[in-house]
Amino acid sequence: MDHPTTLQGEWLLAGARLLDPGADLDRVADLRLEDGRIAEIGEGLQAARRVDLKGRILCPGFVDLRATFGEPGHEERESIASGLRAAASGGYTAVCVFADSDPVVDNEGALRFQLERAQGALTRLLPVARVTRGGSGERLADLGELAEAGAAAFSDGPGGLPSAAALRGSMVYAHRFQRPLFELPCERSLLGGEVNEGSASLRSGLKGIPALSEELGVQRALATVAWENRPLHLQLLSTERSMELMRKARQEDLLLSADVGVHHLAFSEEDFLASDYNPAFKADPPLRPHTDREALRQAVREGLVEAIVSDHRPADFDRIDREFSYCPAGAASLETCFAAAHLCLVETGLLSLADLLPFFSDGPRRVLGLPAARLQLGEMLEATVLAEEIWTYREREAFTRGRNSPWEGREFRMRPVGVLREGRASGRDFV
Amino acid sequence: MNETRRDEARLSQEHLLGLEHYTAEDLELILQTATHFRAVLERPIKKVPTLRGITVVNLFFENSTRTRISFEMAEKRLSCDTVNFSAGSSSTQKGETLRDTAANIEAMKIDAVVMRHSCPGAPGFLARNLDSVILNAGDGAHEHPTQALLDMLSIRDRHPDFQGLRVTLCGDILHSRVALSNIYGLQRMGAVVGVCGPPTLIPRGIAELGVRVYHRIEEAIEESDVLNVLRIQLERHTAHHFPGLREYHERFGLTRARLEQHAPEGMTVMHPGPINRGVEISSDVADSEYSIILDQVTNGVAVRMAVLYLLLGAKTVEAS
Repeated sequence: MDHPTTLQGEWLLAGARLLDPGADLDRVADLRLEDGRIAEIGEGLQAARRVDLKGRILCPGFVDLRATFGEPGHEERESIASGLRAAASGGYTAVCVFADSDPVVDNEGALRFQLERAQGALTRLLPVARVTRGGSGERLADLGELAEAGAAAFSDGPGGLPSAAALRGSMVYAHRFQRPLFELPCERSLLGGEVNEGSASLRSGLKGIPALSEELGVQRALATVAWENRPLHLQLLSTERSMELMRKARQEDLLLSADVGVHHLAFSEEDFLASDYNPAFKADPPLRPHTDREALRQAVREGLVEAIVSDHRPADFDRIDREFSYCPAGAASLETCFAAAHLCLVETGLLSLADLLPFFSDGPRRVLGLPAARLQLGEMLEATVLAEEIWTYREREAFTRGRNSPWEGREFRMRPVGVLREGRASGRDFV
Repeated sequence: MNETRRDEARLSQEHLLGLEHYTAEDLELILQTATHFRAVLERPIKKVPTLRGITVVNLFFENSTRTRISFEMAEKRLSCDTVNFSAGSSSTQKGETLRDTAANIEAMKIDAVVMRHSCPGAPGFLARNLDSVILNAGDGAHEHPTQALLDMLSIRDRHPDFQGLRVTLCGDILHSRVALSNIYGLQRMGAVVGVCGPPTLIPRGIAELGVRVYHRIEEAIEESDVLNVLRIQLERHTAHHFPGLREYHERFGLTRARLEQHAPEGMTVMHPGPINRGVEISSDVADSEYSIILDQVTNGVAVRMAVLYLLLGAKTVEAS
């Protein structure tokens, strides 16, 4: 997925299953492009150049609401270039990037640096800027300036905002610039552990993080949104009770939205316990009991969340080749996110493929205030190509620099194999 | 130990990372072997040539006087060559990783590493990265298998049958590495295990391990044959765990008066040490006929000889 092919002039994408649930579209047909724009959909179409997509699925391009890259400062974890290649390989046409960088992205200069580094990549980098200076949770960053420079959203990074006052101020002020505020809900005084408080902490001897921490954070968010009537987006909800609170927010028509991380849909603390202290199973929030995992899957089915996110947090080998307690939380997951979501939601019979797609496309775009990507006449095509095939994830073949994937050597049955955006395409069908 | 025994007697595990995966047969074998070695310790000449030529490194990343001395004593009694390494004087302070530290030591041709480390799971990490036999001498609040084994050996001297024996661990279960190893080991041998302490020091969900939970020391005394009193480590507690040592002693401490009022006949009191006299246990209990605290220390050497022998004995056979 290194060098995108330019789709200038007339191109025919032939024989794919066109699947766009938002446009009520599910048919095998040809799609004719003119300079990247959809000019015609039908059978037996002709064009100057043709790409055979028989057996493939073409669907609206994926957007990730949470991926972490390390540039500048921690390029060994992930550079912007390696991260965007990994994103394209995972089927993403756009990715919200949290910079695990030094310095942090809390000013226009740092943000412009990110965008410059992303130039030329097919996958669009959507910067998530710090909402407070230095991510300290104290003084607001220059949100107006950051929004104008291209910030897609604001967030304060790991640990979330430290107080109700900081949350309230950030939410209200960010709304003035029509950018969403992303928050990892938690009560900080209850953090400081490494795994879920319960079976995982009990049996491993590691310090526990109680679900209570997250649930208090969700309650605080819910009350603040109700009070201010401004939007807030919660990330990586991981417990059944958090989902009950989201249901309540839904019933009260609050402007509160949420996403779940693919790890929490795929794994539970039992997987951590069986992993023999494998740092790829160290997550933040921690992997919860399987009952929570089931509740999250049901919540996706019920539509209580807008998006399923990769929460890509790559760590290089040296950072994880040490005692579990010294390893960072998180996992490299851009390249496995969709396949893993398919595994735990579609292959289990909970959702159809068409039901799953909006959590990767329409939902995240709604959160960001971006227009939907439709497979409709007149639209610039922004799409992901999927192949139903058995494949195995291998870190050494991956584009990410992260070596902390829980999926190493595991088999999947669905694979993103290409992306198209703004008249360019990459992937094995477009070489 | 004669050669035939050595051939028959094998543990199911290559390392001693914890008791979680040790079977009842493994535990029985260790306790029986330890009983033999205890007899050796009673002889005028307490040293046997059993592990001559074997080199053991005692890798202690956390301070520990008695466990390290006990291991070293066990190694010397078996004629091992021993090297001590403590974190204070080491390259870890210069930023060397655990794997590099251990790999460097292993490159000097050793056979086993005894490790104490503050991170749970660190012995397993070492086992995956080295060829040596790894013995866990305590990993954070996870396991301390030789402590549990010596506790079990000490219990068996007073109560020959573990089946149905009621053993309760009292005190700070949350931060304890001794508790989990004791629970796994004792349950596997058929004992009924309980835990007792302020609810803030009992881990959430501990009932899933099949233990009884007490929050009143009197109740624990009444329903136990053995009380294993754990040390209160004040430095590990925040202000939200309990108010202070005075109240701890008053409400949860093991006192003579409480024992005399509530203890069943023949009760045994243990403590892994070091003791905080007047906190978790009063002197008139620690030094009383109930107590087997010093027997535990003697048994510690015997049990460590047993596990070293069982894990490393095969190496001497291969070599000869």
